[in-house]
Amino acid sequence: MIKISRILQILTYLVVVVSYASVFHYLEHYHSLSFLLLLILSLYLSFHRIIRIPRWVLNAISIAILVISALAISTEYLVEPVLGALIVLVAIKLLEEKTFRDYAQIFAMCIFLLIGSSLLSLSIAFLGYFSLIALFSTTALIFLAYFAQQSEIAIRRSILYKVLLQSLLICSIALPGSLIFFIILPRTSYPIFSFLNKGGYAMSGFTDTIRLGEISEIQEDNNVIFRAQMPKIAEDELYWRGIVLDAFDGSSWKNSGKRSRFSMTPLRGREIVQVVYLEPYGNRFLFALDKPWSIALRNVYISDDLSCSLPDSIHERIRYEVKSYASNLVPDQAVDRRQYLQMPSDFSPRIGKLVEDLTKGKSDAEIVRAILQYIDRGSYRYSMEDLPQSADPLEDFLFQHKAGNCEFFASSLAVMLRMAGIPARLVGGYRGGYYNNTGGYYMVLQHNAHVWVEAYLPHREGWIRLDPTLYARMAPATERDRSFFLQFKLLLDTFNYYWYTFIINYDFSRQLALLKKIKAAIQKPDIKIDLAKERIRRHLYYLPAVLLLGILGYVAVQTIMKKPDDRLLNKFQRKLRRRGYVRKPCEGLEEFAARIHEQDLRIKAQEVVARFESIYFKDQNFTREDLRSLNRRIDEL
Amino acid sequence: MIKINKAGWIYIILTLLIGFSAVNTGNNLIYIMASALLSYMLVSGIFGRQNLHGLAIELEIPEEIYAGTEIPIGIRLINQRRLMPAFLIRVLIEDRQVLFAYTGAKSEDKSYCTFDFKVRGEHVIGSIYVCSVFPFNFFTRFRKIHQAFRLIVFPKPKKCGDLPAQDRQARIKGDASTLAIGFDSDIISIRDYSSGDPLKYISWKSTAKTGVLKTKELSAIELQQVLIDFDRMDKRDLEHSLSCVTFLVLKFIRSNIPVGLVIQGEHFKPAVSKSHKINLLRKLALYDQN
Repeated sequence: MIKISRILQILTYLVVVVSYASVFHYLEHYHSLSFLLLLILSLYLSFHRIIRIPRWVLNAISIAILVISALAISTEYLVEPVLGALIVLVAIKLLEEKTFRDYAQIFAMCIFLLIGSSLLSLSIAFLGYFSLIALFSTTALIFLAYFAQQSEIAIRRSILYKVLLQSLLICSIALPGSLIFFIILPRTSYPIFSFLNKGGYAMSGFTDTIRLGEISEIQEDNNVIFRAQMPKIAEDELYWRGIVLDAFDGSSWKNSGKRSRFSMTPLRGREIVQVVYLEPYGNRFLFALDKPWSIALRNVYISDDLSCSLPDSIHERIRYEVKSYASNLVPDQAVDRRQYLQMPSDFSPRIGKLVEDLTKGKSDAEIVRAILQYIDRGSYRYSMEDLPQSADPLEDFLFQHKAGNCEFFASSLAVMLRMAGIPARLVGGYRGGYYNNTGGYYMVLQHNAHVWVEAYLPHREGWIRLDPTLYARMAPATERDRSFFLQFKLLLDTFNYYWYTFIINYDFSRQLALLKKIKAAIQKPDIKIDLAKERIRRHLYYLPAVLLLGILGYVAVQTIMKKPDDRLLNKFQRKLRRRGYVRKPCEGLEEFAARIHEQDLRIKAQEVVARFESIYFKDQNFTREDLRSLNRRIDEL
Repeated sequence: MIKINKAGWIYIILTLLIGFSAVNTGNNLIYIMASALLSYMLVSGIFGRQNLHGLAIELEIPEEIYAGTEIPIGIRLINQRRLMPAFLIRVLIEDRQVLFAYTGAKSEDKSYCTFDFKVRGEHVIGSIYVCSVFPFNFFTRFRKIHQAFRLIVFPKPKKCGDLPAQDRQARIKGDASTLAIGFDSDIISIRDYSSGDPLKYISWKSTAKTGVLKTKELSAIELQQVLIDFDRMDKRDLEHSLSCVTFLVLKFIRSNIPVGLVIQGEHFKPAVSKSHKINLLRKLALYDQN
C-alpha cells in the first residue's frame, strides 16, 4: 500500500522544480539561493520530522521577502522581482504542514511563475515547461482530490498505476483540446498591458554604425535574427538588405540621415515574395531580400536607398511580407554625388596614391574592375581576429595587415571608389542563410551579418552591388556551415519556426482571417463539396483496406476485452460444434460433455470440463500455466 | 446535479484572471495557459460525469432488524462500465455516506455502514445518491440512484416484568418431563446394564448395592407449546406491548419452545422455525400500520 500523501508530496516537488527551471534564468542569485536552501530544508524535514517550524515564523519570513522584493521593483524591472519573491514563497509553503488549501496554493503559485516566464521569453522552451507542469499537476490534482477526501488514505500499487493512466488520459485530451480554445479565445489589436511583455528583447548586435577595427560580437553570435519564408533561390542572390551607410569619417561609417522619399524608376528582375519573421533586436531597420520594393507593414518607411525602417526600435517579434526583385542593379537617375563622394579632408594620401595609380585614364567600369582586381590579387585574407586597430585602420589593412573582416573589404572598396570619383555606399545586412526544406524558409543567423558596397555607374543608370569580400580567401571557420551540428540546428529550428509562425504570431488579424475563411466555406459550400468529392474519389481505393483494418481492429479489441475463461469456453464449444455437438442454452458443462457418444472424445472433454470447473468454481484466477494446459487439452479434442 | 467547491470557485476566478491577462497583454503564451485551464475545466467535467455513469448500488440488509438497535448494512457499489474504473465514489444513503476509493471496471466493491432505525415498521431507503469530486475536487457531481430498498424493522425487544401471567405460564408450561425414556431429565427407573449403554448412565451406587451393573433410565423432556394472544393483551401502551411480545417470541424460539401468536384475528400455530419467527416478527412490526 502506498500513502497518497507521499505521492502528492513527490508530485508537488516535481511541479515546483519545473516551475523554478522555467524562471531560473531571470532570477537574482539571492532568490535562487534562498529557494534552493529552503527546498533542501523542506525535503529534509519531510523525511526527518525533527522540528516543526511554527506558521507565524514562516509568515513573518514571507512578509519580509515580499517587502524586500517590492523595494527592487521599478517600471523597467517589474516582472523579475515578483517572480523571485514568488519562488521563495513557494519554497516557504513547502516547509509548512500541508493541507488541501496549501497544496492548491502551491500549484496556483507555480502557474503564476509560468505566466511570469512567458512575459520574459517567448521561446519554445515554454512548451516543454508547460507540458511537464500540466502533466505533473494533473496527476497531483487527482491525488489531491483523494487527499481532500481522506488525508490518510493509502492505495495499492496496481490502483496507483490506474490513477496515473487516468491522468495521462486527461492530459492527452485536455492539452490538444486547449488548441481549440487558443484559436477561438477573443483577441484585441490594442492590448493594454503589452508593456509587461519583454519576450526576446535581449538580442542586440546589428547597429547603424560601423567602426573599423572594433570586434563585433555579432559575427560570433549563432542566434537567429530572422526567418524568411520563400522558395529556395541561388546562393549568390541571398543578400538581405538592411541599412545603407553613406557618411565616412576615416574610421567609421554612418547613415547621414539625408533621405528623400522613394521615387525611383521601378525595379526590374525576378519577383520574389518573402514572409519575414524578424526577432526583436533593438534597432528599427527591417531586413529584406535585396532589392525590396514593397513591405506590407504599418508605419514602414522605404527610403530612396531602399533601406526599410520603422519609426521605433523593434522590441517584439514582428512579421511582414516583402516583395523584392532579385537584381544586381538599383536604377537611380538623380544621385546626389556630393553625398556619395564625401570623404574626410586629408584622408590617407597613401591610399589616394594607390587609387590614382590604379585608375589613371580609365573609364568608370574599368576603374571598378581595376580596384576589384587589386583586392583579388593583393593576397588579402578574411579574418575576424586581430583586426587592424591603428589611427588609420584602412591604410593599415590595405598595406600592412592585409587581413580583416567584411567591413574592411567593403570600406576599402567604397573609399577607393569614392577617391576615384565614383559614388559609392556601404550596405549593411545579412548574406546567405540556411534553407529549411521542411518548413520552406531561410534561417538567417546573426553571424551571417555582412557589409557590401554599391557603386553608382552612370552608364548603367543605377547602383550595382559589389561584394569585395568574395575575393578574400575565406577562413576555415565557414566550413561549419556544412557541419552536422548545423543540420541539427536546422532541424530543431523547424519546431521554432512553426512555434513562432503559428503560436506566437497568432493575433487578432489572423483570427479574423480564419473566421472569414470559415464563413466563406459555409457560404460557398458547393465548391468545397466538389473538392471533397474529388478527394474522396482519389482515396476510394483505400476504403476497403481501411474497412478491413477497422474490422480486424474491432475483432482484436473484442478478443482482448473478453475474459480468459470466456475465451476458453468459446474455444471448447467451437471445437465440439465442429464434431457435431452443440451446447444447448442453460446446459451445464458436465451435462454437455456427458452427451458425447464417442468414448475417447467424451473422456477428453470431461477432463477439460473437470479442470476448468476446478478453477472456475473456486473463484480462482486462471494462471498462465492453467490457460496453456487447458488450451492444449482443447486443441487435442 | 453539480456543486462548485471552494477550490472550483478559485479555479474559475484564476481562469478568468489569466484570460483577462491574456487579452490585455496580447501574449500568446498566456493565451495558451488560459486555453489549457478552460480545456481542463471541460475535460474534468466530462470525466467527472463519466465517472458517475454505469454505477449500481445494492444494499445487503440483514434479515432481522430491531428498532433502536445499530445494525451494519452492506453497501455494494457495482461498476458496470467496460473500461473506466470508478474513482472516489461517495455513496450517500439517507444521512450516511461511504467512500469507495477505487472500483475497477466490471467489478464491485463492498463497504458497511451502521444504521439505527428508531421506530418499527416498514422503512424505505430511497434517497440514494452517488457523488464524486473526481478528477480535481473542483466540482462535486451528484447522481440519484433511482432504486428503493424496502425493509421491515421489528419492534425493539424489551423484557417486561408486567406480564406475570404469561411469564409464569411460560415457565410452568415450558420444559416438562414426559414418561418417554430419553436422556434429558429425571431418573425414572434403574435397570440391568445391557451392552451398548453409555458408561455415564451406569448407576454406580445401585451397582455397588446389588453387585450387578445397573443403568439409569432418564425421562425425555417434552417441550410445551406457547400461544401468545396479542389481541387480548392490554394495548394501552401499544409499542411497549409489541416490544414485550417480540422479546417473548425471541426468547421462546431461542429456547426451542414452539410459540404461536394470535394477532389481528390471524392465528399462527406454534412453531420454532426461523421462517415462522420472521413471520411473527413481521406481523408485530406491521401491527396497526397501513
